[in-house]
Amino acid sequence: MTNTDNIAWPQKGFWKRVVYLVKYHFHALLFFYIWFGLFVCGLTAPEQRVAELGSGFITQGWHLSALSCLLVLPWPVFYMIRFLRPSKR
Amino acid sequence: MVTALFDLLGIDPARFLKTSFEVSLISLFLLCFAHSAWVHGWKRTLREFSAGFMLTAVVENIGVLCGAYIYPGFNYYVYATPLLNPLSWVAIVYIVIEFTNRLVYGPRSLGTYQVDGFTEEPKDFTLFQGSFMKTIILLAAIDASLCVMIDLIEDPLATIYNWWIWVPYKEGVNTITAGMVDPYNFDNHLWMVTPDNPISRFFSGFFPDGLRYPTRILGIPLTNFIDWFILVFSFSLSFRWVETKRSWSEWKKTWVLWILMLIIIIVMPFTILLNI
Repeated sequence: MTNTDNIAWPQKGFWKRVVYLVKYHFHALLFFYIWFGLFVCGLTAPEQRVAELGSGFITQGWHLSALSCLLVLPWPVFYMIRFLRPSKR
Repeated sequence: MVTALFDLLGIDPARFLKTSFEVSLISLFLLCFAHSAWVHGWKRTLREFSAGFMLTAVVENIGVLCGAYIYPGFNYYVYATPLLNPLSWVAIVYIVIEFTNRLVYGPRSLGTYQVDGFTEEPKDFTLFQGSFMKTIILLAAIDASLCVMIDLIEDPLATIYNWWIWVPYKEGVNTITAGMVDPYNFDNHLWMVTPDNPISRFFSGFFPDGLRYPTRILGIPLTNFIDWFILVFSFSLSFRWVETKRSWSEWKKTWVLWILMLIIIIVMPFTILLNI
């Protein structure tokens, strides 16, 4: 079995908590970072370039940002709910 | 509003985002590689990252050479594909695989690092009665679905920012030809057209009217999203399956994974022929 002492949230120490987050929640942090990158790129998209897509649904950059909030952002939110909810064990 | 901020700072947002795309994705790979080496050990890290790199580098190069899309104006290439492409693909898949484990198993999945002395049997994580394979298939399907959701936003952005350009859907288009790419955000005029090559000539024969991929979602061929799902699903399934073989040596796991990658490399290019 796993040594559970290693995976318990550090009760004190700022840097211990930072290391803990990077070690155990690295994937969620980067998943959130990917969503944030997509969100910002949508906001800064030049309108004449968005027209290149030829899409009737996406006509401005912020439409892609909004779509990223629907398709990508919910997953890190579910993740937070999953981990912040008190464990039944 | 954000564009106004770029104007205030005197930065062309398109050029900035093209360059930062390359830098940030190579950095993302380095971060993921270091993290994986730290928590999973060097052997598993090299196995996962080398197999993913080889798979994407070959498949993406075939995609370019067959005329489906191009990657114009980058600084570092692996032949016809920017170096960042296979590097970022393997990083994203590394993130998504562990992210799926966390979503499915919750806090229990935190203790699965080699560095913490993880010794639980994979069958302890089974979600269904009987074979563990069903669980692996479900997890791989979630991995692939998450990647497709990211790609649904990423691919239109790629066209907008000239990261990669899909062959347009119009009369007589089989490959990317001269003048099709507007290099508005880069000076490096590399890979602006599909070069004349045997792979391009072979695939052109399957699109006799010169048209390609008429069904578009957000301006991107539907085939792209199907291919993404298949590629991530097959990689994740192979990798997850190999890692459940706890009795195998590290060498055996590596060779089996590489052989599975070679099979995927042989099969994947034919999905480009899905002219839907």
